[in-house]
Amino acid sequence: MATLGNISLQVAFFLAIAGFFVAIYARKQSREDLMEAANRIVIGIGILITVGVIALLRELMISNFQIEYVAQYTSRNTPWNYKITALWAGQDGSLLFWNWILSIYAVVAVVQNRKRNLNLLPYAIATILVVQLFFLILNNFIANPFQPVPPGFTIPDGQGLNPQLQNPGMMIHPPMLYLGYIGFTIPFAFAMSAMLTGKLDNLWITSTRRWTLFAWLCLGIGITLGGKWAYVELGWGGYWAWDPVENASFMPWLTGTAFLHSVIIQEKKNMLRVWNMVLIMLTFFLSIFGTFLTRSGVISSVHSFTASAIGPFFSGFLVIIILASVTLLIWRMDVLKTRNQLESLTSRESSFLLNNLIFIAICFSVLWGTMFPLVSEAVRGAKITVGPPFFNQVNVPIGLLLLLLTGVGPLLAWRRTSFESFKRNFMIPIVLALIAAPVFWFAGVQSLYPFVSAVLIVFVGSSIIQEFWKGMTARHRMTGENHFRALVNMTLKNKSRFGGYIVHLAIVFYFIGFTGSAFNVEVEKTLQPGEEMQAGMFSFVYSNHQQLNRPNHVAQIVELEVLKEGKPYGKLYPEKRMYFRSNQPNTEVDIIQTWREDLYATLAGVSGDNNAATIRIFVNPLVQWIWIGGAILAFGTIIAMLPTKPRTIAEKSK
Amino acid sequence: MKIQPIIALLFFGTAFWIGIPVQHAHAYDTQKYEKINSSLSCQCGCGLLVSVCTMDGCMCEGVRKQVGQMLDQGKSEKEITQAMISIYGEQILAAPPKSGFNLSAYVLPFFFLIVGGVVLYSVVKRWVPAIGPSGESGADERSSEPRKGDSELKHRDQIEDELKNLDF
Repeated sequence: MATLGNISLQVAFFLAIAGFFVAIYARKQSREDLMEAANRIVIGIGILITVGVIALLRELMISNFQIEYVAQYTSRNTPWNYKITALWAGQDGSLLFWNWILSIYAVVAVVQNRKRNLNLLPYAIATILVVQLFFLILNNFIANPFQPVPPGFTIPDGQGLNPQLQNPGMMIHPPMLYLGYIGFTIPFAFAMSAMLTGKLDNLWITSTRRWTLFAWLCLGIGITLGGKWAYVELGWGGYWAWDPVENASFMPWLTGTAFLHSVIIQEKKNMLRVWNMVLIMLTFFLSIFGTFLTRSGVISSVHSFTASAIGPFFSGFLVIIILASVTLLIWRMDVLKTRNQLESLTSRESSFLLNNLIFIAICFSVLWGTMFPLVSEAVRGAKITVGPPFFNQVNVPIGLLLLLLTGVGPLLAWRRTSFESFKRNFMIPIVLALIAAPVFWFAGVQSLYPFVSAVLIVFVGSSIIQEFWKGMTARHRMTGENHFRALVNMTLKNKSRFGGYIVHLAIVFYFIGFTGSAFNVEVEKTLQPGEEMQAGMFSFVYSNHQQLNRPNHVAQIVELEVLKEGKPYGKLYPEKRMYFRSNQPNTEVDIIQTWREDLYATLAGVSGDNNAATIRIFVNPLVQWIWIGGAILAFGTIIAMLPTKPRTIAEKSK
Repeated sequence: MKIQPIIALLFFGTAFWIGIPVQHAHAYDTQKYEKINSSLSCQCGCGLLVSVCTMDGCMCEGVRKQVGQMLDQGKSEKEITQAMISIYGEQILAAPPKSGFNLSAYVLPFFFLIVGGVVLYSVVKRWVPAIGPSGESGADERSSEPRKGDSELKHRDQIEDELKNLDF
């Protein structure tokens, strides 16, 4: 099966080269037969890479340790579900997985556009094939997942999957991130095609709107799931550490968000055509850049794959992307430029422009902070660390500005906001925020950023609810529908708009969670059985200890009885595991989760004859709101992605 | 407008409720200890702060012990930080010190934002007079002043108008 996988990847490599030239020639000569051939080549590559993936999965499942990759990332006692996740746990497999997703996307894009988008499709295919070709070069020549172990070696058992990756979140988090990163290839390819063909109207944007939303959604969910994984698996009580690889996933999400807002202006007013090109180019570039960061070993990160020789290849590919796209942009600049017109500074359009600036500013600060250790070393020769204190200090104020704009933007009218309109729309949110401010202050929220954040949450939350309320009551009065039906119908009639508002609401939920983190309580203590420790208003009594032998590890488990103001509240069972195969210790946290706070316990270790246990307790307020926010974000984006029935001429003329 | 008191109550309640957890927020007995550990970065490759790293056998355990001992000796935060830099190098700091070239790390993002804001303002201002008050189709009625005494009707029309026109 490994041979079949190898052959399929090699054939796919040659087909990708052929497909690239066929697609270009077909467009140049306007040959529909050749265009169809290019389409079939894309489908063929999809089938071949799928064969490669199936071949590798089979080797993983049957534990063929004569394949290096299988021996490195699985062992005989690795559960079957984690044998599947081993497909993307290592460098070589994950590159194949990446290319597989791209090949599926390419097939879907071809099937979707082969009839209706003949102008843009050939060059879009050519662009996608260049990206596929790059990954096929890596898989065939640099990072081959089917590489056999050296001759004469027999490996009785593999090293097994890193225990920290043996978490259900790892089955979803990386694929979601990949779906997001790779998804931006499609709008990028159509943007390149628009520039190559000179068809620079809104077609490339409308053709790829759902692709962009889908990629953005997957990346957003992937980032949130990554936070959830870090929270439940790494045992340090947090969900975001501003690690370079986390930052690498955050940056294309930021520029993607700016792009999603900015294209609305192009669709409605035919403005910002150059800017939108820049944004999608930047988003795609950052997606590849993120992959480069994870795999090149340029920056150290807990998420990094083993350093390998692929760094220079990625650098070269990034240079090609920049050169090609910037050259095209300069070439088409005159055609792309439009006469930009706005009626007023206080308009929805202006707020979109401002939000673009803020998104780009946050992206810049994250990029700057991530790369600053390298810059500093180059300039001063001194190694430094740029960690959470820096990122929080720089990004929190800018993030709060963005939160404010999330509330202000939707309240501003398109074209111009009159004073009357301003008063009418802002009155309730501002009054509620003003009422909430002293309440927060006297409740103890007296640090600057948490206080501002809490007040803004009230302002933004109420502004979104107000928008829904106004629309719902207006529809209720006009149609006689009951309030719930009016709300549903209104949302479904204006999916993009209200889907977007739901996403804004999700952002409010995220900020509630972030604000809660300002009040985290953390206590570490070594307890004898029967002793207790205090964290916030909770007591934790070390009531029991046991050692369990499980199939692939031995676990030390302590039982903690939790009391809230003296009354029983629950039990926690944090574990310390020692995995046999890798001889690696691993901390398994236990959490009591409520919408008010998480009680989060980790066990540093159990020592001595008397089973003294070193326990760390975190009381983390409002963390659940972040995960709920993720679900709301997904819901809102799905609403916005639902197809819209085109309005009839009669409806339009009403 | 009967709904306003309900919304007010809803958000007043939410605001109050969000504030509740902070009643037990000041529990650290060793705030200074935590503050110092939170300003130091673990060097084992995990990328975490010394205060939260839980890796087994990690250098953080030693760092935390050293910080505790120095606090016991009555050393100030600044002295402890300096001692840590002399032992582990500047990279032990979780954020670059705000001096010399490192200052650019802090200043540049805000410089970018401010310059971007100024450029954006001047660009948008240049765009504004380029069009007359008559707009294109799909305009929002909010853009014109409403007639007095007819605000609710106007409001309803405006929402419906938006519902019709803003779906893209």
